[in-house]
Amino acid sequence: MILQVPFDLNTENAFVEGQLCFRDGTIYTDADSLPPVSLPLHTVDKLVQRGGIGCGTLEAERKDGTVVRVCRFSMACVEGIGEFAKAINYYLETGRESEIKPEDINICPKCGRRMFKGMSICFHCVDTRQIWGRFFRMMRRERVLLITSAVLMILYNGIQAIVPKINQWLLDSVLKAGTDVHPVIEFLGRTIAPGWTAAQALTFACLGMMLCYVLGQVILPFSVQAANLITLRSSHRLRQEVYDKIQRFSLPAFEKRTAGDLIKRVTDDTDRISTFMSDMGRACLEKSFMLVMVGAILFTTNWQLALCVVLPVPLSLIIQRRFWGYMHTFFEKAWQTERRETGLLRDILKGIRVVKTFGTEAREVGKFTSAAAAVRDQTRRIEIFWALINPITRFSVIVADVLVMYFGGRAVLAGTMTTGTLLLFILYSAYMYEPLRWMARLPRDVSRCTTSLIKLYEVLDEKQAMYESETPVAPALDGSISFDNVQFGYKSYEPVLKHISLEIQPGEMIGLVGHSGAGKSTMINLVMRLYDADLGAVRFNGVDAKQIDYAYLRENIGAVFQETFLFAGTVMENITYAKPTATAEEVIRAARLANAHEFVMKLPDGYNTVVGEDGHNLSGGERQRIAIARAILKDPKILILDEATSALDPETEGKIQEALERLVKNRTTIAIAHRLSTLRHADRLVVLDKGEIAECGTHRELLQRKGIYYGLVMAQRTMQQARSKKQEA
Amino acid sequence: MTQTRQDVHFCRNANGFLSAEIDGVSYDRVQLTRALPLTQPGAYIQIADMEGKELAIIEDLSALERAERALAEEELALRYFYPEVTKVHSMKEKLGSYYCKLQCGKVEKTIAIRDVSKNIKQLSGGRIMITDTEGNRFLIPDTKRIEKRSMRMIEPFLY
Repeated sequence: MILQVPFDLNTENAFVEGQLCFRDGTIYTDADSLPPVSLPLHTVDKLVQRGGIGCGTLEAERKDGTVVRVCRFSMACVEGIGEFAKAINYYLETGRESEIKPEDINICPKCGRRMFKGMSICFHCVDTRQIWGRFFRMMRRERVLLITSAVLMILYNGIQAIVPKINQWLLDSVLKAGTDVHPVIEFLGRTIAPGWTAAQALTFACLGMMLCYVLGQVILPFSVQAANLITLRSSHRLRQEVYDKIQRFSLPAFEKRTAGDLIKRVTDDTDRISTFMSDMGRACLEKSFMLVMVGAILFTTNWQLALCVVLPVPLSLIIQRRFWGYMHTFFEKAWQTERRETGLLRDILKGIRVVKTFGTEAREVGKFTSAAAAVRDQTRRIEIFWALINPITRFSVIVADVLVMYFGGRAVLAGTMTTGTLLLFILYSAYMYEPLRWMARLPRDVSRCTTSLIKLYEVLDEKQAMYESETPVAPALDGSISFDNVQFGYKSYEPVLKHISLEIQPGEMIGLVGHSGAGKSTMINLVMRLYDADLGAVRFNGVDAKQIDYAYLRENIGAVFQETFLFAGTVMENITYAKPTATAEEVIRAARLANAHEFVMKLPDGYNTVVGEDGHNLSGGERQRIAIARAILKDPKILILDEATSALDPETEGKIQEALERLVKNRTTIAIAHRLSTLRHADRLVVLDKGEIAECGTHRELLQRKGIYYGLVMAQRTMQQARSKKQEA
Repeated sequence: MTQTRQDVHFCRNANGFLSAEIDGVSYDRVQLTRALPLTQPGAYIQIADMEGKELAIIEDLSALERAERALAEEELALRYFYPEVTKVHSMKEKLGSYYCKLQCGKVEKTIAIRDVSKNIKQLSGGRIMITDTEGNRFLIPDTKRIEKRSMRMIEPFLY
């Protein structure tokens, strides 16, 4: 076995570059500036990782009782060192070898940087070409609309671009006949209007201009509509894909990311991408078409003057670039101060009872006033900045105008150019700036969209962390469960459960007891196969849970938790959530058994009453009974009760207890309860302590052992006695 | 735990780790924790056993005898790590994250910061805390003492 992970601190809190290695039966460190540590494995009892604040230390406890500091590391290396310690300790315990892969410790295999939380793509090394390749493939799905939209947009712009031409013709051929004109115009004049009078030609030109305008306005809505359709369709499609994928995530994949982050990816990121897609597809063609067409006209007409139009552009871009940083800063600050203001307001209103209780209204008003003043000052600063910056950014346009006017005017005076051509230049140079400005903005938009694309593809590419058998089996389950030397931890280097071995008979009720953090809920998560055991196996009817078809296993497990979440919908829909095909009769029977029927009948719309976020508010006990009805309706072989009655008053608890007793019959049940009296019907109690099974037996057996369980029972008894004494007093 | 003054002495145990004697009871190995690590790092230091159970609180480290105080400070330095930034070389944006080249004493370090508005924070007393994606926290101890050029790079992200 060869292991190697980096560490990065010395004992003086300075960064170093070091490697912690295991090779040829020796644990050793290798860092150029540090004295090396070398520990033959046979002298080591175990490795202990000690966490500090922002750093940690790896220590080795040796067989002779001495303890040695192996290395120190910052947060960057925590996971790697943890995996190392785990692998070594596992090897010391069992003699089995393991290896550490870069993806286990969330380090980019390419640059060695730690990857962002919840991401499996390194932002630093990501191949943007590949990302954009995928984007363009995605874009192809909308190609018909994209082309339509682009063609319409080009048509619109083409028509708009005719207007300056008409102007030129008007000025040169109609209003001042006789001077030399542009050959195209002359040709147009000869073919369209041979022998027209100047007045007739003027009317014709004005009508032509009007027609251009009307045509443009007719085409524009269609083009915009097509673009909107692209945005809507692609965003719908993307959202559907992402949401579909998220629904199929395993629980660990969910836990890597926050709900807010996922919501953002489904809404904001897909939005940004599809907007960009429609904008890109259309604008890219349209703007470049405009640039090329207008550029061609200008340069063929008079290339010197065309240069005057184009030359100030780089200047404008440089100025924009230079000020962009400041602008960004200003806006960011404004946004921050506004956020602080609203945050403060939300805080105060939410905690208004606290404010009133402590009589601190004046202080809070003061705080808010200063936050509001900050917003005012920042906004004013932005206004002043805008007023200053606007003339500067427009400077290049003005420079171009002046240059064109000066050199063009001289040419007109010298008689080498017509007034109409000069007008043409002035009008067309305005057409040049819009595409150029768009191009200046492009890098920023591209960068933003890339970020969104990466986040999106990352979700779409998420490999399910859970092992899925290629040939899943669906054995007949009778409710027998066995834990075979199971070890599991949410974090690889912190096993929550260790050496768990337990045989549960069909129909048996097991009570899980222990301090909080002892691993009770984790054990239940393993039974429900929300996670897989790191080592050992959980078996149902002798079959490893990993081999059993995921959906099939879930069908056979029902659960009632401390808090029941009701979806927005009717009581009926919430009860049938587990079995959508259930008849009304079945539902009512289940509700009766769950002691829920009585209160449901008192609701205004009975089983059709809408509950959930915007619906009728049910109490904790009522929700709990709905959950029990769900479980009864599902009729599972295995039932899990996780603190099902802990949040309730004694009377309701009695009712629910009664309902649960009906539910538990003839099923394998695993129940967690802090209040030990609720577990009195359990066939066996399993006491967990620091992730291991400390005691196991019936209530009576455990009391006689006078161990942990005895201590817990006694503690609760004294507490109850104290409470009843208080009530008597 | 009691706030009454306790008689605390530090020494090293056989393995070289910190050991304490509190009111005549000796503990082979203890760990120290700051109650106010950011505002008063030298005051209210908790002494706990290796299970994390509090044994005593030292109100002020400077009240300790010099050698013992050195021991305690050494232990604290091993447990707390906020590298101090002496210079900011550059700050570059790529795909929404910032890559910041910092000087931390003798070492130059490039860190990645995501969500800059959250991860670059102004604390009281002119200090700035920068949290990178790896979870390390870098501290600029005094905005007035760091050179202007460095401040200009950080400034846009403060409010």
